Amino acid sequence: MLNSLHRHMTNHLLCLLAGWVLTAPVFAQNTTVHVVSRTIEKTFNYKNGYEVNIEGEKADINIRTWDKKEIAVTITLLAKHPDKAVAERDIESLQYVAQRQKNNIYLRNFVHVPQNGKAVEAQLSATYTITLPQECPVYLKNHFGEAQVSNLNGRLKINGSFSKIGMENVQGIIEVQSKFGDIMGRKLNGDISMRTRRSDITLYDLKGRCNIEAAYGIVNLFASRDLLDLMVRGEQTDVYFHHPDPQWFGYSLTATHGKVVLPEKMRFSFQENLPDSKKVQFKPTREYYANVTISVNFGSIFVKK
Amino acid sequence: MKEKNKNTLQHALAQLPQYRPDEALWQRIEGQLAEAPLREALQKLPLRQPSEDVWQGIEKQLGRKGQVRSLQLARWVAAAAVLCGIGFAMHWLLGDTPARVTTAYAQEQAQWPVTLPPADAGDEEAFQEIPRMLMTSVVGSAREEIAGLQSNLDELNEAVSETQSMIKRYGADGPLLQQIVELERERTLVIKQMAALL
Repeated sequence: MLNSLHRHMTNHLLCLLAGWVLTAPVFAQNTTVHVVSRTIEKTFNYKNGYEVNIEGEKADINIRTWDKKEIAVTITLLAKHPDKAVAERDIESLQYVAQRQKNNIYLRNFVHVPQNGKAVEAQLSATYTITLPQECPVYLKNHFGEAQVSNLNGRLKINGSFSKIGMENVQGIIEVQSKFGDIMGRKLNGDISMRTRRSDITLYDLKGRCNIEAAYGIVNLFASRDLLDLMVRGEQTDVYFHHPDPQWFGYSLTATHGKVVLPEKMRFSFQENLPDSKKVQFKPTREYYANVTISVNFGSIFVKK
Repeated sequence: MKEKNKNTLQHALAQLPQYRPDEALWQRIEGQLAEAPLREALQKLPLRQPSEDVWQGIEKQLGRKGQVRSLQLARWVAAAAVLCGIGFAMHWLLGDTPARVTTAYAQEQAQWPVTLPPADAGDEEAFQEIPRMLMTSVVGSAREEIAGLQSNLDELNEAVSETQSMIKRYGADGPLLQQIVELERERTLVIKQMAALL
């Protein structure tokens, strides 16, 4: 009798202990992690009419230019895990494409686990370094990760999701789509269009013509005198427009369910000034000037020096 | 002499590897045998010096054949050169040098494992329950606002599942989990806005 009671209690204690072990949080600790990196280097000759087409996943993509008529590509695939054998196994699941088909150079990475294969346990990621002639058109798609483009002067199309996008000194036709990924641009010039959701946009030294449609974000623009035309439509978005001399431009600003905040000593004319709807205009004294048109719904507009 | 272990010997003999010579070997031996009387006969033949003209004639013919041969060789070399040229041009135009693939190993210190505490069952219940309560209880102009919040929530839910699918394929790391945390905060804000309308 006593014996069975003892056994019962032991079982009970064991169950409690097992329950505690299973529910206790796993605390991370500093560990030696093995890093297996596979590097692919390939060079394509460039001809007029060629386009580089990148489809990255969890990738850190860096695009830059040089004077050679060549496209040099370095893709590094990474697998990290404390167990070296696991890192070595999982790097095999991380695959790539680097090939030319007619005028398109395709660069891609993706995860492929064979049927009945073990699920990925390592941390996988990829990095791309692409060096190409500045006039080479680029179509860049990235799902998670980060992309940085500099010194291009042609046609750049970016489609990002959950990926930060950086652009520096890029000219030409620039078309960006992004969701859940912030955009940072410096010295952009040309025909620029952006459509974003849940992405903040910051553009310094902005020139040329720019058209932005943004939802759920903050748009922060620092214009240069060479800005030719700006159109921003924001949905649940605040828009900040900065220029050292705000009177250089003509303005047409509309905010529904938001406010319009203007620099002092500037004679804006309010065409509508209701609590939930504001329409403001300003025309410089010069004959020709660039127009800044901003309209937001559930957001505010700030014009600043 | 009588063999004591006959069986063992036979067994061992049976296990010896067998070797069957090549057919060509027999043919070669036969050929050599057939040549023997011919050689004998050759030694018995009388010797005779040919005249100068014969050698000159032979040399002339050989020279012409040599020319023909070198002409054929030149043609082949030319064809090969053209093919090489085309190959080189194609290679230059297409520019598809084969990729150089290298693998390297390194070690680093990092926090491991990278995980978030498991989702709270109560939270998940609220994310399901509040929108449902709202759809049934609110009427009139607030409906539009609720529809907006609902589509907002749907988008965030979709983003959470996209991030989770990424974690499944690429493994959990800091940036991916940070994304989940940010999305959870935004989802919470929407749920709070929805709860305020109840």
